[in-house]
Amino acid sequence: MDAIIRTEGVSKVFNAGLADEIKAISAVSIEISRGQITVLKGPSGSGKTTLLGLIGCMSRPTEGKIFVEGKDVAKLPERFLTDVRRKTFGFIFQHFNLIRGLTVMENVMLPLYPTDIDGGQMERRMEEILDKLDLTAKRAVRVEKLSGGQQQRVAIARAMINEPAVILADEPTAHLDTKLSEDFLNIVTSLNTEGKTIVIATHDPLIYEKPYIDNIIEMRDGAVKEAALL
Amino acid sequence: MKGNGRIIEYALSTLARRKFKNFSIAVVFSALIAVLSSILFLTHAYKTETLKLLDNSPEIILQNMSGGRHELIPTEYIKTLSGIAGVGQITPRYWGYYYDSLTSANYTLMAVDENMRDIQLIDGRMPQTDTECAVGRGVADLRQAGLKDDFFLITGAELSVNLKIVGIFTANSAILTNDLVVMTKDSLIKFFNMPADKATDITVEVNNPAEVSMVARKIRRAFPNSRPILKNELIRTYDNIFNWRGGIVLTMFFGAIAAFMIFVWDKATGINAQERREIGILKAIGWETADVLTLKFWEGAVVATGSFLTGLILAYVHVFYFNAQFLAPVLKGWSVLFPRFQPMPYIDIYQIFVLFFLTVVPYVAASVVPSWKAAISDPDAVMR
Amino acid sequence: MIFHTGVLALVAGSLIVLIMTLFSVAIALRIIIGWDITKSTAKQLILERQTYLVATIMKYVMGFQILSLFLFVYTADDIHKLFVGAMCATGSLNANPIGWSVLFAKIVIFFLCTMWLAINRVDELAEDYPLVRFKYKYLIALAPVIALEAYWQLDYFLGLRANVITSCCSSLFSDEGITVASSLASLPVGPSMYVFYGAGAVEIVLLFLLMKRPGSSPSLRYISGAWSLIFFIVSVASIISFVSIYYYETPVHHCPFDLLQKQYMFIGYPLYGSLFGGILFSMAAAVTEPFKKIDSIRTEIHNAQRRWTKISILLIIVFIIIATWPIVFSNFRAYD
Ligand SMILES: Nc1ncnc2c1ncn2[C@@H]1O[C@H](COP(=O)(O)OP(=O)(O)OP(=O)(O)O)[C@@H](O)[C@H]1O
Ligand SMILES: [Mg+2]
Repeated sequence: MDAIIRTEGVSKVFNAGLADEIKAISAVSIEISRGQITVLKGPSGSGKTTLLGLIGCMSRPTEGKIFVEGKDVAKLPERFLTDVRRKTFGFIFQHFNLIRGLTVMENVMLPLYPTDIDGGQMERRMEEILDKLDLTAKRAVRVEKLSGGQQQRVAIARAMINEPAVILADEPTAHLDTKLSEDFLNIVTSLNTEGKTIVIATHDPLIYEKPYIDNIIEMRDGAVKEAALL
Repeated sequence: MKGNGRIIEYALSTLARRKFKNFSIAVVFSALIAVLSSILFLTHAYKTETLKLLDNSPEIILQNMSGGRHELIPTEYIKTLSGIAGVGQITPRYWGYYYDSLTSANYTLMAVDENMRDIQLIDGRMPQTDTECAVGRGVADLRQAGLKDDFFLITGAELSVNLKIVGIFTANSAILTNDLVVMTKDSLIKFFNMPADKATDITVEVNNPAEVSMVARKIRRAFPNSRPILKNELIRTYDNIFNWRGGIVLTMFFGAIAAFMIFVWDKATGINAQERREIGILKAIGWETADVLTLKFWEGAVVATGSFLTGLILAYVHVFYFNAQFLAPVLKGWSVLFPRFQPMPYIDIYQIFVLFFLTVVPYVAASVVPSWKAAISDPDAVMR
Repeated sequence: MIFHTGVLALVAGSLIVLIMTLFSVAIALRIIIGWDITKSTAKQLILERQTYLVATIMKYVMGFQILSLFLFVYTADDIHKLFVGAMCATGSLNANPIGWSVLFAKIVIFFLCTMWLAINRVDELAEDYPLVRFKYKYLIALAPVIALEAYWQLDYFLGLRANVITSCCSSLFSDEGITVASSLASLPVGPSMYVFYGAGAVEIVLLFLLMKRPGSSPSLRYISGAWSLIFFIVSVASIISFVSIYYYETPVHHCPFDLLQKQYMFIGYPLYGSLFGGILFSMAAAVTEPFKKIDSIRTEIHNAQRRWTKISILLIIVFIIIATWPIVFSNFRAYD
């Protein structure tokens, strides 16, 4: 199975050279296979979010290489990093990070605003995704009026609007009860069956104990403890 | 609509969601522009009024000089003047200043002559007998006098004149008629105790405008003690004076503009947590630094344009519909008797351009760095 | 010194531009010294982000510069009453001849800023920012020019004395004068038309060739860039020599500024706008040509050049049409 993302000896140091210098992750080498569901597992502070951000082209590693679809992005200037991110990744953040005051539709389409995509096409995509996530009835509602589960579905819809190959989720069930967590997993598995690669950072057993998880990468103190369970 | 268009749309919706945040900048900005443009509009209106008045004035005004000072001019000069080639109509003028201790104001007293037909009376008629007079609106208001009322003029020499107001007038330009008192030549001569063979000055028309300076030179040669004042020179001088006034006031405003720049800088730097988070989200979901800069540019452009237009409209209404009431006390010191004239509404693109340059350019310059600071926030900031 | 709101606005504006430029120069120095694209240090990230700031500032500087060019012409026009003999902007500029240098410098700076932005644009399209040092050196070189222009402008206004006797446009642009401007005005209309349309035809053919065969040799690109400059000068001369008199419909009025006024329906804006735009895009395509040597931006430059060449042709054609319009449609005849 080919790796859509591969890292080689990736480290990230925060506040380098300062008194509060901290090495969040060091020498991480992992592979994420195309079309699989991978879980990044580990206790709080182990570097899951940092790693997720790095492979999602949110920032650059201090050291090492990161290959996304075969291209090394570790040294790309931010402008191009953003471009790769826009084309490849959809993010679902721990705190949904929706923009209050905007409607569901606006929040979902927001990532495409600065792109050259045609307005009609953008709206068609949005309608389709809202329909799939059962949000059509709420399309014109402001996001702060929605329940937690609905807000997360909006966040998922927004992550999907750019038709990414990879969906990255950081602690997606942290704020959800069991029922909603199961709902989330149902959505994720259905996306996976459509061919999307999924990476979830979590320490919620509800997720990583699911039988359909293809791959678990366990982290501790900024390093990979045990890779490639299957 | 593509990329940029949607960013503009988003900028508008952001402004709408944060009405109050931008409100203070918009208010201060509009106020600054309103004050500045009121001053410019008013000075410009003055300038135009004055120059318009000069339009009707004679090509040459001849004054007599003695010891470097303006003296009465012998009317016998007229004979010699009419001998100079190119000279048209020659008219002696009788006028003088009068300080009225009752109202602490300076009036201009002038004798009726034919040229005054230009002056449109608003009410009444021109004086015909030695006991009648017509006054400018400013004088009438100061004295709280109306038609048919009595009008006293007293001089130190225990001479006093009691006239009846038969007309109150205005002219194309209110500036010079406002403080005017018009009476017959005889009563004026008597009042000022002028010798019978002298006038205040003499106006000389020149048939061909191109010959004005040549005629002036000939006059000087004929009367070395005289000073011919050319209309063109007057226009230039007035132009210069009004430019000076505008310039001086503006210089005083440089402090205000600098303060405004600091205010903008401060406001734009101190973006609140919610706004910072929003920009963080935008960066995280795939907006590039340049996109956020574009967003910030449009936000600024909308605020600036909105405030600019608001300020202009306020100034326009203030100056042209409310006679610059708020500015009048400030500007009153400028002229002896501040005319309450109604400036003609006008729109001058050049002035708007100057105002734009004086206000929007500093605004833009002051907000560059703060917008950039906001735009470069880390995309992964919202993940923490 | 002429104390005038327009003058104050211009002086304040150039002060702001100068401060912004010096600020960019400080960043440029830091970038030239510290730039290392192979490192992902925090310092490199900051420098990278500062490039956005400099680019933004330069865009504003360019914008302010073009506005200030217009404001300068308007102000010269507005203050002409102060000078004996002046009847329009030309007279005010003659009242202190450094005014012409200011006008010239403003145009040059606008061109230089635009070229900087063109280079910046292609540079930003390459992942390794290959032109970063070059463009910041260019920026540093630009700063003294901007400072000089600000100084000249101040000098011009300080040196103006009201009542100075000056020549107005009808004598400056009159047939008997000996200045450059008057020699332009005294150019015989017929032959200058041939030169103008000849130069315009060459310009369009060159651009057309480059558009049809974008792979053509670099020298053609350079020739076209140089020719654009020549065409610009020819065009300005032609506007003074004959385009103006057809718009004004008088054989002696040659003023290039009056075209901007209301009584001529602001025709100067589209006229000069299309000329400046056309020349700038064509020159931008030429200026970026040498960087095609660099692998990482070759295709990007190639695409940008095609786009720019197309826009350039379009604008030049629009310009020639506007310039030709009154010659064909007005009843005025400069010669029979
Ligand atoms: N921007 C930052 N600046 C400084 N330190 C940081 C930054 N981001 C993360 N860290 C530190 O790096 C380490 C790894 O953090 P990270 O957020 O990746 O862990 P995590 O596994 O996601 O933890 P959690 O389960 O709490 O989300 C932590 O010690 C954290 O404090
Ligand atoms: Mg985390």
